[in-house]
Amino acid sequence: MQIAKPKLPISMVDKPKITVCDASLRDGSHAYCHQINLEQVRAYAQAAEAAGYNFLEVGHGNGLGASSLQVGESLVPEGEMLREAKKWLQNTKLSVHVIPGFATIKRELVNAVECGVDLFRVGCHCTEADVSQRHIGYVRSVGREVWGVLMMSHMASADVLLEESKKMRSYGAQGIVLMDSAGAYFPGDVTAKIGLLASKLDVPVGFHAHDNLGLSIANSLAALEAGARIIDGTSKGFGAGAGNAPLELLAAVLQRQGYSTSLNLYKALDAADVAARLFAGSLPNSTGITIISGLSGVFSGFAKPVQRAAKQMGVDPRDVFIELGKRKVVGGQEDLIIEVANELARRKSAAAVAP
Amino acid sequence: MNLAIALVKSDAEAVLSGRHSLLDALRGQHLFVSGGTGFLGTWLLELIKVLNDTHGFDLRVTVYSRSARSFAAKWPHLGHQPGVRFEEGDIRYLTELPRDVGYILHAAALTDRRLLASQPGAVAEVNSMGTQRLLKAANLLEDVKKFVLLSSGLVYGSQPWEMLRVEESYAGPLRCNDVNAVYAESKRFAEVLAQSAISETKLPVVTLRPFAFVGPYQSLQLPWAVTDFIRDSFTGGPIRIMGDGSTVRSIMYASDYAFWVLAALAKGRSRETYNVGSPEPVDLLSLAKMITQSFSPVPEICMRLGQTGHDRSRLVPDVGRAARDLGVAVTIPLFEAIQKTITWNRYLQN
Repeated sequence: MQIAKPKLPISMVDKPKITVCDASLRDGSHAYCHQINLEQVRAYAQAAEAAGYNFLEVGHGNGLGASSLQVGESLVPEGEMLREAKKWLQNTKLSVHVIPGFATIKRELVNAVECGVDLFRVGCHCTEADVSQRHIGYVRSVGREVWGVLMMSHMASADVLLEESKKMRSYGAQGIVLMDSAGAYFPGDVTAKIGLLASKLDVPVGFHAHDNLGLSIANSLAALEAGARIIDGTSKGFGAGAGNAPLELLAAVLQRQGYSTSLNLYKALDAADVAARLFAGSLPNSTGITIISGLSGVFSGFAKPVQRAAKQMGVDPRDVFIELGKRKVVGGQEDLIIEVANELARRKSAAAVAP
Repeated sequence: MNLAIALVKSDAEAVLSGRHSLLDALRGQHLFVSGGTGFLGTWLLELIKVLNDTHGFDLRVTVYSRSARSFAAKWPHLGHQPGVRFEEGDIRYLTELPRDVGYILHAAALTDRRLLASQPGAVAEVNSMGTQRLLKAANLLEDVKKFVLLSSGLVYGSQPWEMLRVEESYAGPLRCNDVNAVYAESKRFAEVLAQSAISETKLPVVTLRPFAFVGPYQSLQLPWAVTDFIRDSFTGGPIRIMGDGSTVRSIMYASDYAFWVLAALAKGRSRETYNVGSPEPVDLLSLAKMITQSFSPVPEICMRLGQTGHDRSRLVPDVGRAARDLGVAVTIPLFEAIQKTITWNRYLQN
């Protein structure tokens, strides 16, 4: 049974309709070392459909074509994951994350179109929108919906983000999403950046939060108040690093704040329970590592490889994060993790033998 | 393919029927066209083919383009016609023209909105330096009768909403400290370069300011409203309109566009500026409906998908001056233009 909506002030009644994107089966892939299986896809897709999420994003954590030794191999080929999810979705549309380089047009995008993907979210580092032109153009040419995604957006100013967004818009993007890939935003940052984009772009603007500093819901709310029309989250925050904005919490906050959505609150809470059961033991939580990751502004997906490298080299993973932050590394530069850990180990041993 | 070519040929014949005498000044002349393998250039070649084959114009053409060879291979009926010569090159490095050229059309420019966003510096360079190069080369010729510069309707900046049609005398604001103004500014600068050439060397320059067009040979991959709507309809839709559909444009069919440009070459008054486009306004929602009704099932039209506050703008030319001086008119109504474009693309897909 759905609880009755509380009576809202008039100013809240007119709030815009919000598109809610569930990235659990994509961002959560990071938290699950990309080992999500088809039974989990099936069970969770049913729960997401029932909850009324507008989009369910499925695939490797780094998007189409990313399964590799460098960033982790998926347990299940992406085509099988997409087809399985599609079988259980009706009102909820199927979306994928696309990073040009990992994903090629001929191999991954063509296949994803055949699998019935409805929305392609083409992402790149926040200052490199140019690389998204061909992928966005291809998706438009086959009549599917495509958004542009600017990742690690804490690293660029609002003006730069607007410039890059306009490039993506000119290529045909029908929405623009800022990702706080490192969980480094504060609400004031969100207000400034989302506010500028929402006031200057004619397409809907969205925000994708990470919870490294415990601000994912606050930042998501700030984004909505600044004019965002798209909001991302994952059930139980199932995502990279400290996880994302938990959808069950977002559902409650959106309802209380009077935003119109297609969500069913109770079913969203149920979907979170399903995620908790399916991915028990791998749900993200706040640790010293994730907090330092957020403070240093390093991609949340680096958490596990940093811990592995730190253990291997006998160094403090927090130091690795801080050094990676100094070097302003971005997603796709995973090979630097080993280099940094090795360098820290070398310095440590040099200090130990110094007279 | 043959049906597609036949459709275009029929349109070229129709637009010239009873009007080709307006172009008599071009008989026996040598025309140089920079950027002659784009949408407009292709249509010019279609019309010139009819002028030569049917009306005995003996008009020779040199087409200068970065993609001349691939164009000739793609459209052999245009690439291998008598009197038409293709020259491959970059307008920024052009130094001289064939000595007997009497008419010049400068259409070479970077116009793709995606390129404007990614490489604004290249747009500024090609559109300004290319114009300067061609003007200098033209000044070396003995007997230039007309130099037509293809500018843009965007040089007006924002057309005020309450202004139904914009006249050539209007000068709207452009923000030169905004990179998004690079295309319009590059065209404005090209215009002032041409005015400088008129002042210094009395080169007989006519400036055209084209607006929006539709027709065969136009790539449906271009991110413009009309091409977006047609392409999305071909793929089953939906058509997505970010605002409320009240933005107003006007759209001219390609055969009319090409004829107006030829008329400007033949009859345009030196030093004069002419708007080129349809004076009939159409809002985006009406345009989308016009397009979708040609498909079955009719694609859905989704509106108000974007942020609020960016809902409408207007860009419609007043073409009274062109009508008076050039003797031109719109011969293909918008609905028919849309139908022809869709039919041509269907032929091409089959």
